[in-house]
Amino acid sequence: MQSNSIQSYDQGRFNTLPDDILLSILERVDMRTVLRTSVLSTRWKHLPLLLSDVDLDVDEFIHQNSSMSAHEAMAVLIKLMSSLFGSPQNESIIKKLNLSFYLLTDLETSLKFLFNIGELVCNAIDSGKVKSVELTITTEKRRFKLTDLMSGASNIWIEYEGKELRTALNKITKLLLHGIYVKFNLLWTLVLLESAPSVKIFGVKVWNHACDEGTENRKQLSERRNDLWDAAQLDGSIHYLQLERLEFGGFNQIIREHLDFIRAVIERAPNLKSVILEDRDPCEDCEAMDNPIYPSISMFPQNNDEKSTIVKQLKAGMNRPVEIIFC
Amino acid sequence: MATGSGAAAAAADAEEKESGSRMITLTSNEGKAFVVTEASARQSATIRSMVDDGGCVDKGFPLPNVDSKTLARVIQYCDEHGNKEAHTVDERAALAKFDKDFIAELDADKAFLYDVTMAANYLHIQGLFALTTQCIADTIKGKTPEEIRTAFGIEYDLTAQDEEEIKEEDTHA
Repeated sequence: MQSNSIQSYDQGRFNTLPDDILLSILERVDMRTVLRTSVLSTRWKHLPLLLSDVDLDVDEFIHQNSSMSAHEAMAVLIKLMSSLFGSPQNESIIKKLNLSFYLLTDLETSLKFLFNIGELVCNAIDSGKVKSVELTITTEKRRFKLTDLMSGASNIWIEYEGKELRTALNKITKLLLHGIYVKFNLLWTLVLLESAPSVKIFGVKVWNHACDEGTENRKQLSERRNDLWDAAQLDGSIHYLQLERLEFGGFNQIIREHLDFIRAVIERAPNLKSVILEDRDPCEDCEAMDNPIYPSISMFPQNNDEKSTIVKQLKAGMNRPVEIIFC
Repeated sequence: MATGSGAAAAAADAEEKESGSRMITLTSNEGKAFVVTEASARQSATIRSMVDDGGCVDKGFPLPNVDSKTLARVIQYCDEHGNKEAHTVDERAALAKFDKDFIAELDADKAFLYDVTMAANYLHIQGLFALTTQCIADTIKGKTPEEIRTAFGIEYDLTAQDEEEIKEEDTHA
């Protein structure tokens, strides 16, 4: 009896912790757990709305509930965003919003999700609720899907959705596109960049695994091409005025298109300060195969001679001080 | 570094250098004095800024928000992190081991854990605050709301309307 009352007294002390400490605790757990705490009691109900650093990652939802489809996870993400941003009585400010989501194979749904997200983010920024956004569109897990979407529907994106896309991406300051299949033309990613005029940091990561050769995914991929794109098709009048940093993962010095792509960005970004080139992510399975797509030797510039050749090629005919960094 | 304004201060400075570090007195809300090395006290950003501002080092620092039991435990942490080196792999491993044992002991006494967390927050001892909040976060992770309520003695006081909203959320999440 006595020990019971001491116990509950001790436990009750937890509720005496001030909000800022409880928020520090919530910042150390994932968003799903945060949401679970919001149904604990009246006091806890409003705490998630006070978080200043919000990390929303669709991957995390799926990871915790494997029966959830990517489609369902996207719907949960959007619902979460609207409850986090939408509460009118809540005046707290989200200093940093990390948003990470998939683009789905189903084009129509994917665009719908993207516009929903874009609208929520834009409104939240316009109202001052959110100060900074980092956006990662990942195709790592279902890696052919982004290219699927793009190659199948390039016209729709540009002609019909261009304006809406711009509204959706208007306030994004950091845009990362990971998991782009190596054989696809990269220039289409510039359409996204054109639609996101506030981007300061733009990153692409090329995927060139060979270890799934012969699988169904790979068959689908090789049937699709997107030759529709070349630099001449891009709108020459558009410049990425805010862009300061370009990150290129999976750089391969013998692929002409990588160089062309980087040059195209440099030319259109008058305020660009640095270009970060990174080698591909190591993959043991691929290295064992020694496939032309993924040769066992890295095609990343190794010595100073190779590096200075790349720098010369990238900066030829240009007098702006852009720093090329090899990682 | 503040420079001494007189001969006495200069002498005191010289003496500090000789002894390696000055000693600082921290007083709990029960009036109990704890003498610690400056290196230990500097683990607290609050005390560090007061010392650097040339504050009342001699008079010591009264801490009206911290009781003796909590302060003693906090000082235990600060001594370990302030007085010991953490350059080599072994030294860092020893420190990590200390942290692990330190937090395991606190975890067994939740009320005390909250007191130490409050003190770490008040004194701005970053490492200790990270350690205790992480420990509480780990307790919450993977638990159902009901389990969390039981673990932390949280009283369920949501209205019927709140419950409706939650039910709706549950079907989605």
